[in-house]
Amino acid sequence: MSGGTYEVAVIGGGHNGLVAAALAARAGRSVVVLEAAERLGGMATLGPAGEGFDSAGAAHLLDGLSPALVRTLELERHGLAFAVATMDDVALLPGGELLVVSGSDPEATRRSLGRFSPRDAERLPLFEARLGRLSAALAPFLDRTPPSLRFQAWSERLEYLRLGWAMRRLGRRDMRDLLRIIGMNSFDLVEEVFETDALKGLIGFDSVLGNRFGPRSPNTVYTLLQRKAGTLAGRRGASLLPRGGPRALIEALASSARAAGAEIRTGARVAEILVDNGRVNGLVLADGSELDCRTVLSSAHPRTTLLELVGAGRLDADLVRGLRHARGEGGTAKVWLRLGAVPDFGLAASALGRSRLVFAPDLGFLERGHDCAKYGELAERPAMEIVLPGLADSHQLGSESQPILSATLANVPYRLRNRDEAALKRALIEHTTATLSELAPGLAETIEAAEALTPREVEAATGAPGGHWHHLETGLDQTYLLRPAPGLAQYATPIQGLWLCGAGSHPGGGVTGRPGANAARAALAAARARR
Amino acid sequence: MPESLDPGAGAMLQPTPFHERTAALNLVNAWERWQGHTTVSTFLSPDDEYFATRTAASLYDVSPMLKYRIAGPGAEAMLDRMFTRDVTKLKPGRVLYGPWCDGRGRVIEEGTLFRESADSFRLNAAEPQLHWLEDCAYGFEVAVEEVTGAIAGLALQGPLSKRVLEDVGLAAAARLPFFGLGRFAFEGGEIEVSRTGYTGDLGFELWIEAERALTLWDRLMAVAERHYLRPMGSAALDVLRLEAGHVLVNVEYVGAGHALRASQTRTPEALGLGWAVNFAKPGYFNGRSALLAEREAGGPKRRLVGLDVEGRKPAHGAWLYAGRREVGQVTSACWSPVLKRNIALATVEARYATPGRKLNAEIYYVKEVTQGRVDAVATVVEPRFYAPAHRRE
Repeated sequence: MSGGTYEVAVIGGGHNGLVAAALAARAGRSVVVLEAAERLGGMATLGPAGEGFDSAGAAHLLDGLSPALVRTLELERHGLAFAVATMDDVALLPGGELLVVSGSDPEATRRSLGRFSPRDAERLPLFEARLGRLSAALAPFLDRTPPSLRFQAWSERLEYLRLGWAMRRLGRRDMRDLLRIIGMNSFDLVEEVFETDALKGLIGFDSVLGNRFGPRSPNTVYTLLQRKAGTLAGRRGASLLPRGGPRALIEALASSARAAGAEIRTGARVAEILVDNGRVNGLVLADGSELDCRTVLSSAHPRTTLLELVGAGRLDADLVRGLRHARGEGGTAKVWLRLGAVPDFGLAASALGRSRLVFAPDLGFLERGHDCAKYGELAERPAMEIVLPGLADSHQLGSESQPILSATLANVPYRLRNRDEAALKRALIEHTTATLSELAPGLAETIEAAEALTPREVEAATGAPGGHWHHLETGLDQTYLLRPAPGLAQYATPIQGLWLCGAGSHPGGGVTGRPGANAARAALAAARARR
Repeated sequence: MPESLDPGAGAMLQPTPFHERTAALNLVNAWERWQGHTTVSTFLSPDDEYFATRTAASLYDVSPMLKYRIAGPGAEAMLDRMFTRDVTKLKPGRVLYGPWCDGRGRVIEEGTLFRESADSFRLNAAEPQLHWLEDCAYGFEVAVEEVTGAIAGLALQGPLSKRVLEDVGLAAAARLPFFGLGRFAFEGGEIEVSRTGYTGDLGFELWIEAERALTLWDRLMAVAERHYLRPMGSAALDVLRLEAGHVLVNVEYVGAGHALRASQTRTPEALGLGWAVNFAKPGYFNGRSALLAEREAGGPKRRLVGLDVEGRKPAHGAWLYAGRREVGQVTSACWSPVLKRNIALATVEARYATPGRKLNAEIYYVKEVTQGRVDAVATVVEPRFYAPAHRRE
């Protein structure tokens, strides 16, 4: 059975797969996207469908999406719009106090923080500018293929020079600062600068969200800098709320890819990547059909792509070991609550809609939550990020009368010690509800429906082993030229024509589109060089 | 009876299953360590032990050799991916010799692989391989088990070794073909015999449960005088293996798994084992991409060669020169008694590795209490110095 002939096949219809497909199609290639599920969007659009939730999606907020991609792929023409261009960050504190780090009004931030500490109110803009300078120096490398350690090709030597020059251009003071702090933990850095627990907790939360890290975990300053590289919002590293939710973003990407000529198939599970003498020689789908193509960009987890679709036996055993050792047990979970009324967090409904609420009242709280996760427990009061997108966006389900609260929980154990998956799911909902009831009196009584998504459910739904939102953790040992594993950091694999274009590759997960774009560029350049 | 000549090692070194017998015969009490065991360097005279092997027969205790059983429905595929040779072509009851490489195409080690049945293999190695075997086993339906301690091994080598076997009731084993393998009834139990060895001569290796090791030894030694069968130590073996041109890990190269310097590792081609790399086999093997790249780039920069050295001073560690240019170094050297030639194995720059090429060896030797030095012409030759036809008969 023939599944057609294409120049490029993209495995996985998550945002990175769609970005890669759109770029390849724009370069004139015949492209097909093969998504195993019936739904596009991968992890971003995961979420409960029934109970009035109607596919609320998981990734409501964007912070790292590449502005260049938005332009190149004409995403706005294809329907991407933002209901909130820059979200306010609001730290929730026990007792009902709030700390507002405004997305658009520095003066409001100064006033809010000044109530806690005038000193910190003065320091925050300086701190943000400092991290801004450092992450701006690193940011261009998020959109470039990391060099290898072979130092052979001139293009790679040039890349090292470029990296060196970017550091040099920072000037001696900032270069020294970057070298000093990049391997540090965010706890120590934040303690050096600030005295307000609420602010320290907020910054600490941004440094650990997505990874199974605590603020005292090594190189959480690096993960913080990576977040601060996001420039799409009005404030560096802040979030945006796409209109229509994650599904709308995915539809814009799919529309851009289709407009460029890419074909997108759902329910098309790839069973095997055919290899002939070290080269890609087509794909076999789960229905038995064979697809003829010589270039495959896989946004699936690197382990899925190489160990399952290619097969460990077709690869060097040391490479297989490196892949197996790459850390990526998921540590992030979702809870959705459908409420009967707007919860009382001390903010008006309109302000609530444009706020990213963060519950991480201090660094010790975050670190203790991480300790729980390390030992297979869920903290009684988990650290979380909360949005109510329907309050700011009439295109999303959930309205002022029936808002949907979407919480992203940090430091969730992959497995609850001595308990089963159902117990973790129950605990996620119970602990979230209990935490929120303390922060928004009366919230618990208005809950009409509750849903949770565990890392293992993410794993089952997307096929990404571990169900980690970055596929693999983004600590320094698994970043840049070490990501996903040594020898695989240039998006290319030992199988000629097979490229890794998912979150497992540089620069990692989150809805950025960067791994997809970098991989597509590398694959297209290689194909041009061969001609 | 001392455990070891190295007092610091103490009882950490284990006796081999043959220790009780070898110790009684070790008249000069010369021991050395081998993979955590004490083994005999020489029983009395390395020359006598050497000539017994080349003209009659000898016994050498190979029990410390590391042995691994690899079994399961995926064993063939797993080993085919591990070895550079085509393991799918290896039939049950046959033995294969070859290297295995890491992903960079660097030799981790080389050794013999016994196919004991369709789904069960045994790998013999000089250095620990369990970790690597387990890495290689990932994704295959196979179980890896170390069986070193359970199996005692005795190398019976020399032109009369067939007759020795016939004389101890193992006539069927004596008929094994070159690189054949079989199990035979022996003294109320079984014995595994392979027609393999490290001496380059006619010979066998005998494998038996460790508990029955002494039975085997005694049965063989009972006919020793009839065939001039002599127990042998490692000093004689080193000359024998050099004459046969066999490379030795940690002497000719360092295994890729534990080399401190990448420059000390070698590809199969660089070790003269290019014949054992089968690019045409259907399955992928570890290092294939890297080895293909090496071949396409014109081959290794340095190669192992044999040297025929003028004079009679063994060229231990000698520097090799082409004119004034230093082009390589000797890794093993000896005076070959059977060939009456001064031979050596050396690693030299590839462009000087062609047979017939004359190099200059700078040889240092001990002259009572001073160092002597001679310059000798060393001619590049095929490393298989001694390969008598009877070894395959």
